[in-house]
Amino acid sequence: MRAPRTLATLDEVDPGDHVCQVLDRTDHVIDCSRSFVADGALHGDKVVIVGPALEAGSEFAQLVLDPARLDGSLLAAVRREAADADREGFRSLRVLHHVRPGCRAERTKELWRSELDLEEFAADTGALVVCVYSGADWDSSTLEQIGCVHPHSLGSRPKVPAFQVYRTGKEGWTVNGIVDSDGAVAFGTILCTLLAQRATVRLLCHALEFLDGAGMSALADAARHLPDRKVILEGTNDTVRLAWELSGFAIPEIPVVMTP
Amino acid sequence: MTFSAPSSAAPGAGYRHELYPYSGRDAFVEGALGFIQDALDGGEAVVVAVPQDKASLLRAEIRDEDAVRYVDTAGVAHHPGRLIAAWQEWIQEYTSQGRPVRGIGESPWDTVRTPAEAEELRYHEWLLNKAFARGPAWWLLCPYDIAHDKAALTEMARCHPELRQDGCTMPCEDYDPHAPYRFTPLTDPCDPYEEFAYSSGDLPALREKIAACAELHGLTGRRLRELHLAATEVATNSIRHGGGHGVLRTWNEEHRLVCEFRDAGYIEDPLVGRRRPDARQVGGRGMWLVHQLCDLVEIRSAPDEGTRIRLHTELPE
Repeated sequence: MRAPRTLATLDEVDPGDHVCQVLDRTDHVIDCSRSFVADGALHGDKVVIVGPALEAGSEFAQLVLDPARLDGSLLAAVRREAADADREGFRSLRVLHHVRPGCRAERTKELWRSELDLEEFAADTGALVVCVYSGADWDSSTLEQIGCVHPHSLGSRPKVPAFQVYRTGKEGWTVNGIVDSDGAVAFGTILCTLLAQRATVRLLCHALEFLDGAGMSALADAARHLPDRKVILEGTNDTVRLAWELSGFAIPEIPVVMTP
Repeated sequence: MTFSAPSSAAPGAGYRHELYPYSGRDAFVEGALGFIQDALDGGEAVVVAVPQDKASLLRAEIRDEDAVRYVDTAGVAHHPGRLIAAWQEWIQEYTSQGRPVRGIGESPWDTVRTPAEAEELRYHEWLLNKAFARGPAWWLLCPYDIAHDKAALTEMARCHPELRQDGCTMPCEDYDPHAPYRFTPLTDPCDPYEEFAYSSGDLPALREKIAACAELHGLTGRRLRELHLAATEVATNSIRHGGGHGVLRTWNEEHRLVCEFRDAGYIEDPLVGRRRPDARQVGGRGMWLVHQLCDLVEIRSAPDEGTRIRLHTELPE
């Protein structure tokens, strides 16, 4: 069973982890990549670095995927590499994703899609995925939101997000922590992204500590923004179910099912 | 402290709201039965929402039937903030059919738990005029036993456009449709009280603060979660609409945990949170949830003074 945790160093990562690493201004991308490749060799993993062609001094990287030059999606590419790694006798695949900011809203949407794809990929295949964000290139609120779809965090000042949504087994997504007005927008975006790809999203809410009115509105809006979708929340407490009913959301037009 | 005045409903048209002062059970039964019988003679339906003992007296004379419905008030009678939505629901069955409907509503004055609850029940009577000013048309009779608290009769009269005496309806002279509601000043916080200033990013800390106070008084589990949810909605309003910050005070008063939120915002709508939200509406559910989840809610708001909201939660025995 995957469980969220904060890591002090890259040495602590395990297969199946999906790690969000935020680099300080003083951290160097090349150093980070070099140690990642070295750890991969140590553990018998195939290493893939995703990002724009790295600058000089990156000759240690055997396999670099530039998202801008991929023929198809990043997910398809890493799935291919995972299958190859298996055939080639590696223990597993180890992906280091240097995530670069974009300026279009569309890019943000792609970012959520990509992160949720990688989360599912890591959980389902046992591949290790580390997503590296440079603190200098991203605003803190985006970094905080992106942290919500990584069950594992790494960095000199790792900040545990208020809530996390991460893949659990083949069937569902665990939601833990606190979804209130501060996190409702991110929560809604995550749900919309998941619902764009599948008719039913199963949320395991046993570790969901708190869901406020803004979080419930985000859930209701996401559930009805595309036709023929359904969200199932398992493990909800009686307060969440009561507030959902009281809010008037428990109607057929909002395809959400809540169970204890 | 005042709220703006409700529109008045002229006798005979729209919403009618009539105070029936009585003394003793016989007078209650006589007045209520006369009102019901008039309704039935005119082909109107009647919803009866009175304490159980009073309902039994009426049931002995007129049983439940299609045109007379005795409703269970247990879940709302001591929660004034829930009563307007309850009345909307109770009469909706008839108004949706275009059928004329009357109501008999008496609050459980004999078993009111605190002065704050009594004040909020009276304020509810005043708000009814505003809530139904634009329809639907119906006629509510409010029996009030003067033996209970004669002094409060004048205050009740200020909330009712009409008065019933000797079986006749007449305009209530104490009612001024343009006058604001005259609140009794809120009591001072009981000592010792805790204080916590909050702004953006402080919601988790605010909930922790409340949990610490609640657990001291044995309030845990479901009731604490409900209080957390209500408190979060109020504090979020402070942060978003009340100047970006507020101050929480908590104390124990008459075996209740009171959480008071102060901010610089102004709540213009005195009916805020008292109408059931529509599933399609965007936002506007926060104060509705607060009224539904807390035992008592006191809201005082003025443009020049800001807003104070008190949430009362009964403590376990």
